[in-house]
Amino acid sequence: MTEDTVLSVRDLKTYFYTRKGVVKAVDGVSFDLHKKEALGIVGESGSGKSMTCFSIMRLVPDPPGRIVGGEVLLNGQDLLRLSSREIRKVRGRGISMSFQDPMTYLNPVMRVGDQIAEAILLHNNVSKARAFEMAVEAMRLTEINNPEKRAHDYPHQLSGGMRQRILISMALACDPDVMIADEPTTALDVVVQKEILNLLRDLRNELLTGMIIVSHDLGVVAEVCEKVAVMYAGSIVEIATTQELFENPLHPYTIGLMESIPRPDRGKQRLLTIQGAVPDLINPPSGCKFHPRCPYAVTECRIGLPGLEKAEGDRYVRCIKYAEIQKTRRS
Amino acid sequence: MSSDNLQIESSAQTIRRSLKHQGESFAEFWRRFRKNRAAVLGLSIVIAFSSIAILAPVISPYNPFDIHIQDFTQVYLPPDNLHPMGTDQLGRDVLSRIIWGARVSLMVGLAAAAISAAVGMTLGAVAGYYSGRIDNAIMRFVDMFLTIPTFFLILTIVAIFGGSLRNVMLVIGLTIWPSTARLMRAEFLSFREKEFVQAARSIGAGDRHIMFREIAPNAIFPAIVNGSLQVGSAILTESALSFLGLGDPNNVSWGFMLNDALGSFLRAWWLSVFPGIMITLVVVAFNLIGDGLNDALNPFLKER
Amino acid sequence: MPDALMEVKNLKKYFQVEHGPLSTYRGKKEFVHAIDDVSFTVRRGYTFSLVGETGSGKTTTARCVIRLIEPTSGQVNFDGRDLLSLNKDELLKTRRNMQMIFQDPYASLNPRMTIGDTIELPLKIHKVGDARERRATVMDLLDKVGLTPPSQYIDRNPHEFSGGQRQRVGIARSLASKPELIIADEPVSALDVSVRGQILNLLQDLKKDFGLTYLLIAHDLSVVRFMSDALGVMFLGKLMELGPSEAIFEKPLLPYTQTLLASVPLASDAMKRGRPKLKGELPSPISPPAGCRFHTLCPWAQERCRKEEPAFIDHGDGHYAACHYVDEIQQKL
Repeated sequence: MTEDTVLSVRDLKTYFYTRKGVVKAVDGVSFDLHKKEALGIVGESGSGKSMTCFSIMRLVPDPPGRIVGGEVLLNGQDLLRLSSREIRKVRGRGISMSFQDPMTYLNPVMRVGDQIAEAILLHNNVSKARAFEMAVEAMRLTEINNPEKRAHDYPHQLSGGMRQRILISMALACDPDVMIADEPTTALDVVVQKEILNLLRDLRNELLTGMIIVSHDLGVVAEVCEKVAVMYAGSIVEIATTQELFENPLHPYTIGLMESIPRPDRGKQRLLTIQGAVPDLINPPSGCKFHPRCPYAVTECRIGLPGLEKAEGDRYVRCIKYAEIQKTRRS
Repeated sequence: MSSDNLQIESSAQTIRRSLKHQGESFAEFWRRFRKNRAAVLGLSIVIAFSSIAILAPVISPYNPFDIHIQDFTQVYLPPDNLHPMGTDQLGRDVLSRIIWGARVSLMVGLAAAAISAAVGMTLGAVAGYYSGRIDNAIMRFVDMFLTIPTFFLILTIVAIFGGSLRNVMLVIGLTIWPSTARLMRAEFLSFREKEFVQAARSIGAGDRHIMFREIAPNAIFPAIVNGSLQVGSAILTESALSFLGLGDPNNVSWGFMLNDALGSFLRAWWLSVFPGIMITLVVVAFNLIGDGLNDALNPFLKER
Repeated sequence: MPDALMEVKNLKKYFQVEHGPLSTYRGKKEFVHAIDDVSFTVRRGYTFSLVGETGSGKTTTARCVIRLIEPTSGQVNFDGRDLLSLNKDELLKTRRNMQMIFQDPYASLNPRMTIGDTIELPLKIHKVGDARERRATVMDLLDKVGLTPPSQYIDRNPHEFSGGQRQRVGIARSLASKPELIIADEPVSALDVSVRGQILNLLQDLKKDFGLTYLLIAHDLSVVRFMSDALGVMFLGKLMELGPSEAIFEKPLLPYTQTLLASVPLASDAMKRGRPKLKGELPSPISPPAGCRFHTLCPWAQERCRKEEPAFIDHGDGHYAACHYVDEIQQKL
């Protein structure tokens, strides 16, 4: 943890208590985020990536979920120890979030300008008129054309890309220290997706805000983030810079993912896929959660969960055999 | 919305989906139902009353029609060892009448609900499936029914055609079906566009197959829950009819007993209290079952 | 070049817009031009893809071709006969030969039917074999799509399985009646990334083993490139570019196609070359712009583009494009 670390998550655990058992959705997640840094969290369904963000924001539905352990330090203050009142002050101001499907996260009967202004009013002691002005400014920040006019529109009058920009405006309206974007492009067409990613990249360059981009799409994350954390079954299995991750993935899961995605530059060769399916979070495999699907697994992999160890430079991997695997692949 | 909408779910949604049971076995459903104590209580009451009704000839201590007008010592007897619920103004044993009355109430309730279900489900399914003009026509018909004050309609019909049990069953059943129709229509409308229905159509399945084998097994649940509530409501209606004197005088009905009790409320409390309790119990029981069914079929709603 | 298995000619589908009684547009007859004069050929043994974004009409085209929606006009020649002119019985017989795989594995299987019953449905409807034979066929199909041992799957309900497994069931169902053509509507969009590869491999294997022809609807260009032999790019109800898959990926002629390719995350530099920056809002499908549909967004748009709709012409080797200034744009790049 350095001076400009704005968010520090330590061993975060969120479990869901269901009739069928305890779902360990987030099982010991740790990472740091610095000012002006964009961190990507990548994973599939059940990986826990979205739930991690909800846990950081303390938006976990309780019941059936509960944050059972860990620390979330925002500028040194542990968010998990705050009272409900205190955490409400932090949401939107210290950390904010934009969500996947703009249509369901926007109030259909309220003008978008008013919705952003609402967020501003919750954290700032300003007049309604002033808040609306600030909302328009926030919209301008997300490169919406003609924000003064657009602010008077209702969500259904706007396109998908526009709505996503509104959500991002809302998240940035109070100049938070950290902004989390959960699947910002999943509901959008590819051309609009590109525009939103460009926007996020611009924002990262202009603002001091630390950003976390959550996505199942590695490509999306690669466009905006310089650092990527790969999650699987509730834990982070690899952290690396984007370039390192693409050029030289270390964890077998990441390797498998890279190989199984059809890439434009790979032609029509048969895709190398990962065997099996995402594990049951109630009864995860013993030891390393990926071992049943791992082509490199050995007996030790079944015993004891590997820790997230430092690999070369600033990289971390959760695999006891990564060095040997790397050597095998290089040859 | 782009087709990307259906992409990767967050783990919250994965969990939510696992809680929303679709197509699982009866055992699962029963287990959830059983957890609802109130619903189980309701079910027990209904089973108890049904048994009483079925076994009426066997367990009834006296003939409910046995009049003892001549013998003044037998009328208006308060509850005692010989007559646990007392006797009425004609010397008839109240307990026996309660037991036989259960038959009428349950029969009318279940039959009326069944008729309502038959008519309502069919019309609702057709309206929801075919949409367009047929839907409009049926829904206008439904609206028409809903604007008529049901009870007065029933009163009128019974007053004209007589209050035999058959008439009462029919008339109640034919006036309460709109709510079932609405529910069924809503479900059919929503399922009609689902992908598995499109899939069946693309294979070449005809309307009949789609309505009966694809949509109906999925769409029927709200209507079933409603059905349970309607049994209770039908029993109440029948009691009200009988209380007003419009029911079947040849049968023993709890409502009729209340009618008999008019005027002697303070003098012979047992004549009104016991039938009243029975009606309340049975109607509440069906309501509890309905709630239990609803919760068991939609567990996610309860969780929140 | 193999012969044509299916020819779509001048397909049109207009949806009438319903206006409420209080709307200012009451009484005005307006139509959404979902598909506006689309023609393409699917050759036997090929995978032909329709690519486009939301509102392009690609999904509507798929549904029209299989007659889940009735087109407004046009022809769909399948194996020599015009599908749109068939009556109910003839259509039923033809349906045997043309099946569909749907996008959402969680919605495309009836939750109240067992997997075995779902896969058996086409056989039952087309009255193939008796119960025992059908069950054997279903077991065989489960095996072929990788759900082994089949007995572990056949009598269970969909909710017990994962998205990838359910999609395999959907694929098995589409194979049951031994069709020649399979229309795959976004077959992997709703699946986890690590499962997509499995399903894509499966689709390719089945194509080889059964000699299938695919009409693929997709928006993910990486998937399209992996699977397709030929493709068509749709925009706002019109086919804008059409041709052999590699030709289009190597040298997209249309500004729209260039933008699509360049917008793919992880696009190679070659794909990013010449990416035009789009400006303006997506036009409304109710009143599409005059002239070239794309002109309101196109940075190269000229006067002619606003007035005259470009013809769909062959620029060599079966690579068609609808744009007035193809050569000029290519030169500028």
